[in-house]
Amino acid sequence: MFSPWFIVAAAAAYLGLLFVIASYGDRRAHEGRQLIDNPLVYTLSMAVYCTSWTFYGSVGLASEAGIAFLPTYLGPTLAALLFPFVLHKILRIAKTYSITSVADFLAARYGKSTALGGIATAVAMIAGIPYIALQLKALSASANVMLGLGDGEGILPFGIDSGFVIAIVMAVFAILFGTRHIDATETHQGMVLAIAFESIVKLTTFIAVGIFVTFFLYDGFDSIIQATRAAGHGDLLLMPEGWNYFDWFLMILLAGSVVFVLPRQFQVAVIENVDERHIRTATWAFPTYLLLINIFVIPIALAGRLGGIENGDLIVLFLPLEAAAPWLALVVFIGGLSAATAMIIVSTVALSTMISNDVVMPVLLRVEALQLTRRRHLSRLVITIRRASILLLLVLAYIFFQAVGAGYGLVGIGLIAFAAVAQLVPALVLGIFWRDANLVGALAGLTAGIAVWGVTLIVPALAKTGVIDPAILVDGFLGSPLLRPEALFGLDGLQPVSHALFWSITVNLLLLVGGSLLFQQDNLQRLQALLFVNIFEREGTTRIWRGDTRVAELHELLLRFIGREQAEHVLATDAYRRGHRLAMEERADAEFVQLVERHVARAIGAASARAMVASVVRGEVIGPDDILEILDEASQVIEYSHQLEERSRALEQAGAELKQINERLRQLDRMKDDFLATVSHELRTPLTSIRSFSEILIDNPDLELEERKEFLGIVVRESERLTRLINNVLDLSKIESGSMDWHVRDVDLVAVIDEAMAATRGLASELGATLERGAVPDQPALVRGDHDRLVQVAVNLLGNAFKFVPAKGGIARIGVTRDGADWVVGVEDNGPGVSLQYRDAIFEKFHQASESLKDRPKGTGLGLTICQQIVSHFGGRIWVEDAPLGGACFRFRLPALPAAQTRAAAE
Amino acid sequence: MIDGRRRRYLLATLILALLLFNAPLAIVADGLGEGGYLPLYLFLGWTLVILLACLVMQWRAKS
Repeated sequence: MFSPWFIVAAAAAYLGLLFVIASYGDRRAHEGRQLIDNPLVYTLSMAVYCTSWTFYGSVGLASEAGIAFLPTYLGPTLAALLFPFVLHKILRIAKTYSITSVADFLAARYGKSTALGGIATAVAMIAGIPYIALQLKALSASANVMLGLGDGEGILPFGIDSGFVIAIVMAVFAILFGTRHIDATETHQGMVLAIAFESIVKLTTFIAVGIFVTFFLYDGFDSIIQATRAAGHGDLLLMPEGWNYFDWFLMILLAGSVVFVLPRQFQVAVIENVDERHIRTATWAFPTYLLLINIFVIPIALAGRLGGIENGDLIVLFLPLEAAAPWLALVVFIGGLSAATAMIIVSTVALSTMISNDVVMPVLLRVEALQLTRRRHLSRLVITIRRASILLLLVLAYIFFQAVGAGYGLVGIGLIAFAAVAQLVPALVLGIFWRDANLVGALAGLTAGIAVWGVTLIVPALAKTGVIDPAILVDGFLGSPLLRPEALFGLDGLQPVSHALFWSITVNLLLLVGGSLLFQQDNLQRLQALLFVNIFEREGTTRIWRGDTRVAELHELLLRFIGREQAEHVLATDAYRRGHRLAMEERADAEFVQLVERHVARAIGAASARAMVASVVRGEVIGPDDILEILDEASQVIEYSHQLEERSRALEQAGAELKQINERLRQLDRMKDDFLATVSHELRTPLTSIRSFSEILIDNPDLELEERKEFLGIVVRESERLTRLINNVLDLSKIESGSMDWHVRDVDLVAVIDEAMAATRGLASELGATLERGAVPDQPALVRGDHDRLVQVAVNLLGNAFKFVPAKGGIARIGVTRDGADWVVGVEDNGPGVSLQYRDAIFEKFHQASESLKDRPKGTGLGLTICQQIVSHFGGRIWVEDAPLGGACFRFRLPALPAAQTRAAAE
Repeated sequence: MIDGRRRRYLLATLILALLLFNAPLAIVADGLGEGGYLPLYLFLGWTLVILLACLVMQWRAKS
């Protein structure tokens, strides 16, 4: 075993190392390099959650009640999954409004209430002091063992209690870490770096002892478990005796909820955070840390139980000592020291800030006799208050440890503290999600909650230690069995902490919700509620100050609370934002007042800062008009948001239409390519024929006359075909380009169909088909149009019909009928008809060209398109339907001329 | 900070964790075999929840 001086030197060296790390972190931060701007450092700093309670206490509890220690870590695992929802919002609010602690957060949310800030601080202290005492107890006990003073009270030379020495050392250490600089607004980057380092130390040391116990003292997990079963302690692997699953659930809930409100957690997770994106990693990395540090708890606890170690809280230290592994014991001692110092430093820094900002400063600033508002430098006062608070907290914790601590295990003290601090959860969580939560509700809920906590946990503790009459546990308050502290309203069978949590949180929530529904918020509360709940929508639009003051007066305020250097920084920040520096004699606008308030708040808290700023801003009023203005802004934002959504939808629709049009254009482009291919083909075929037969005629002057005639006939027919194709292309081109020379006049459609029949009769005879004249009116069917072009349409349609009629018995029929205000010309045949899917497509240019080039009907593929263009030009429409003859029936309608004109024409 | 899809997945993981860590699933694990498997079950469930949370938070969308 080591000499006591070696142990003391090792501990001092470790603390010195921490101090070096913290100084290095601070120095780098001052140089502009933030070492804590790293998600893993952030996560490790959050592991300050694991204190002596974890390091020593979990093993102690596990040795008696098996897995009862686990809810304390499963709860935060569940809470971590809510980090992106809850912690992110808290963080954004805290950064936006320069919140300095959880009490400050609550005070600011509920109308910058000093009363609520004070009560929240008191609750945090009630919870914090036993918790710090727990660390002192663990440190003291472990130090006593290491120093060879036994695991009872450690009396050092000169009769000094070791616990007292540790408390003083810790106080000095916390003061050095947390309040090193006179600037009250500084962040504690060095401290956070040291805490992160301590998290690594406690994890590795605990895992080291876990591996030693599991794999060196035993042959692995299974070996310990078998030995435990053999020794008749198998119950340690089951749900703990006396627990039910409602207890289990409530304990998970308790541990999960306090992660957001424990002063030290709030300090590292919110106040010291430098980048909210770190939450993303912490969501899974923090639970990972908790898992790792707990893996060996059960094996160590079981080994301690099997080894007959009575003081469960010190199993982790006794096992290596009894196994003659003093170096490992020293490592464990340093790990435990890490766990305790980290908690003590962060907790005392957080609590001292709360005491200073939410209790002492608001009181001092109200005492007129002190005339603090006129003092030039208050930052030194703030720091002094914080240092004194740290000392006070450790002294109180030491007293608690001496008076009560000895009767409780580490976990017992910790859980009582958890249940107390959990009372802050409803006001905090509802405060950021429910705009109607108000100060009356929060005050009532918090006060009643902590009162119920006192009745259900502290009264039984006092009764059991004999401070008050133990009969109350059986008889209940006022002699009523319904008011028994450990079984309120007959709720029996729960663990004391679960029972206390259930009733205290129920009462807390009921009063918070009931008070908020029954009472109205004042204007400032409504405003703060709006700003907090809608933090993501309302950033940067917090113009809540109205009044008259000069920049110089606010600058004076800054100098008093945050010092010259920081005040200059604030002015520079403002100058950067607005593009010019405000002159001292200028009237301060709302933004500048807000900026000053935020920075003063960092030194003395939101409530005091508001009071201080109000003292220099004359005529500052926040009336319903201001609230309405802000609400209007919010409504506008919502309105804009809706408009944006609508525009977004319209853009999506336009995008879809454009996509459709683009697809259509691509299709047309493909058709154009096909057309060029077709036209080239169509031109080449007759040209080839003409050329070939002409060459034959030239090269063979002796050809028979019949043959010559035949060949010349082919040349003539191919020339005609060529001409027809070129004419069609030219016609279409002219129509589309608008350069067609239309000869518009009154046209009789009966005459048109007669002319068309005359033109195609020869073709019909040639094919052996019948051309019939269908129904025609007995008066002129007059329309406005170009006679020749309409004849062309009719001829085209008839020609088209003849292409498809059967070789034998083919019939084509053309007629004209009246339909309402239009004349309708119909051309029908007894061919195969046109299937439904092609009825629109056949009017597209070169449609047949887009089909297979083989087996296509004879023609250019432009006829129907030209027909459609001509009919459309005169306000008509062309379509195809099934014909009574069984084939296709092409119809086109044109507006009829008025009856008078028709009669005149008939006459 | 995180998109809607991640939020949904994270909430689903939370619900899964609540189910895994509490009754009735924990009761089933407590009564398995000759007993004594509850710690193993809880640690495995815990690991699964962490892995899922890590996957949800760290996976990078292709877009």
